[in-house]
Amino acid sequence: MRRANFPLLLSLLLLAALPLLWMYLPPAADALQRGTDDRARNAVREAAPAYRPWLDSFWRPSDSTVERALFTLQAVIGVLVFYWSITALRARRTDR
Amino acid sequence: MHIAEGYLPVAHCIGWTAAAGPFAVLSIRRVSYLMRQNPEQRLLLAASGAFLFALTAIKMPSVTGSSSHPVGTALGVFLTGPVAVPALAAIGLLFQAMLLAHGGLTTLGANLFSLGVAGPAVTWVLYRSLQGLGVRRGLSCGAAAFAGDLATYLTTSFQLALAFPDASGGVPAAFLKFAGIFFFTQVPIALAEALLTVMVLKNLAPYLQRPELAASEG
Repeated sequence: MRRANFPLLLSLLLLAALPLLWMYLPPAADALQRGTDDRARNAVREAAPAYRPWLDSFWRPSDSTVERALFTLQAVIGVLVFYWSITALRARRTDR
Repeated sequence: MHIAEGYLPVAHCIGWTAAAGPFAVLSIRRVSYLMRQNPEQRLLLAASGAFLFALTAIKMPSVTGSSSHPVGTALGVFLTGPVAVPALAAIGLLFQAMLLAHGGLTTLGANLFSLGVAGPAVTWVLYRSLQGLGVRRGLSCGAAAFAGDLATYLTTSFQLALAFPDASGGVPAAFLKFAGIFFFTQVPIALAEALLTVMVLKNLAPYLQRPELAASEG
């Protein structure tokens, strides 16, 4: 990889690691962890208490640490592919 | 924007899958066409898909005391065209539905519609309109990306409101309720995402074969 931009890569990876870093926040920050997706789900339960989800995910992460690690994995995969492809794009152009 | 597995009634799941289906098919065909073009198109697809993939995984705190995800679709709209975006969004949604229990397979149609169809459509239409009005490219892209992010979440609000109307206020009241949960939290996140998208575009522009067409339907 020519002229790899390490500061860029590092900061992107740090951004990707955000979900994992959430683990180390004090409990007071717990409210932040209740994302809008969760709040919407609670709103549905309140709006229609009789409604039962008719299917559940056939596999879910065993605990919140695994869940955060998987989110981080997704973000890291995305960051690496993104970084690789824009580096390749830039390298192609400067080759001309 | 991820409606959880089983959280839409069967009829709605079928309906939204039917709504998203044609766009998904069109998008897959578009992506395979683009893949057969020059290497630059393949790299643009990879960059757009990866951007979306990464951004939908990142949970960002917001000023409202809650948190949410960016959508990451705007970059794809500008680099690969809006038609290619649903396929890219589907990759991320499938990964999250199957490995993270985030979103669902029954709700894939609905989530694909909000994330891959509605949001990008708003981004595209607004971008073209602003460009037509002579607004500077950077501002057009940023405003379009911002609006697209919010449009995705408003679509999700509409989907939920349609499925769970308010006892007294019906769908409109339910829409306001769900939109209220998403909207204010999403605004700063959408703003951050818009700025990031514009930054990436500005950085990439010198390296694109036809930068003036980077956001065209090409």
